[in-house]
Amino acid sequence: MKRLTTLIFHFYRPLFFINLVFSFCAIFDLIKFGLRAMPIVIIIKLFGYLVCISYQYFFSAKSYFYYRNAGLSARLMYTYIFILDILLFILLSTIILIPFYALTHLKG
Amino acid sequence: MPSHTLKVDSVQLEFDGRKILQDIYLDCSTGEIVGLLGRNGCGKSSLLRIIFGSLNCSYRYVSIDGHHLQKGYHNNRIAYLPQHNYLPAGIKIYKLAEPFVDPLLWDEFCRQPAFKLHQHKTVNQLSGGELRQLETLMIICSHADFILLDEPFTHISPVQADDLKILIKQCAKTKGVIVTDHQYYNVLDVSDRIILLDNGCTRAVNSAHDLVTYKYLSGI
Repeated sequence: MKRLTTLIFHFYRPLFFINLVFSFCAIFDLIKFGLRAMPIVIIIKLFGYLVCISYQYFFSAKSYFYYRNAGLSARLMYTYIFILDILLFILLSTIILIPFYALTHLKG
Repeated sequence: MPSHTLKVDSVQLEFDGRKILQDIYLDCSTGEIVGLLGRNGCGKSSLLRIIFGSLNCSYRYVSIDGHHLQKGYHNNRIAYLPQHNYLPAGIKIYKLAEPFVDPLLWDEFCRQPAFKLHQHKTVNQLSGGELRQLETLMIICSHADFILLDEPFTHISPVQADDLKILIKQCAKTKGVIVTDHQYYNVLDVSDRIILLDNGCTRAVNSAHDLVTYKYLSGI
């Protein structure tokens, strides 16, 4: 399990900031438009994943062989990091949105 | 240590209607080093990538101990050293090696200068030769039962090539190794048996004279 976790973090590392930028864009939409913005949020996140795959494909596709030699296909690695990213996005949204909504509620 | 046998049969590969591989039979057991020779563009690297599972073709049968393998790399059965560099950039080498190297071979791996001297560096800080040595070492010491080495002697000095041959022979005590390189003398030196890839077909080579007969060498 530790081995798999390490490999996932290695794979996620160069894509972390790209995903973070798209996550903040999505959270900004949620703050501005509330839950009505959910379809846009989904589109933003999906577009972020497309950017990640393109970035990896054009700049470090050769490193797929590192993960394959560790017994894991590129498709599986993408599945793992996108699940990890969704969990991070939910966590980040919760941390940012709950105080924001609470503050708005208190202000009346 | 249980013995395993890798078998590759009936591989068919075409590019733009041109048949690259058509009559292939190759087998390798653990404890054995098989040398694969052939001219430029004859399909050596393609064959290794097909065995590994990273290249699709019209038809292939790859098995270990009679069990068909869809992708050679699944469950760490086969490892492959590609011609290009494959280690991800920006990560310390010891961090890359830890999840990759077989724990049973870790002590031996750590003793190797290619790792010992550069473990706290990233791949960008190594020269081409140092990186090639390290990548080859990591593949040899990986979890896999079968190791495919595509041009392991390229970009390294003769002394380093001699060290690598010793390492490959050590590795072959427990694993099966298929090695290909244009430095045929190194391949002949390290291999127990030679297969020549000629016109998309595999041919067994019994002596160096066969390489002249099949026009791989102009003379000995």
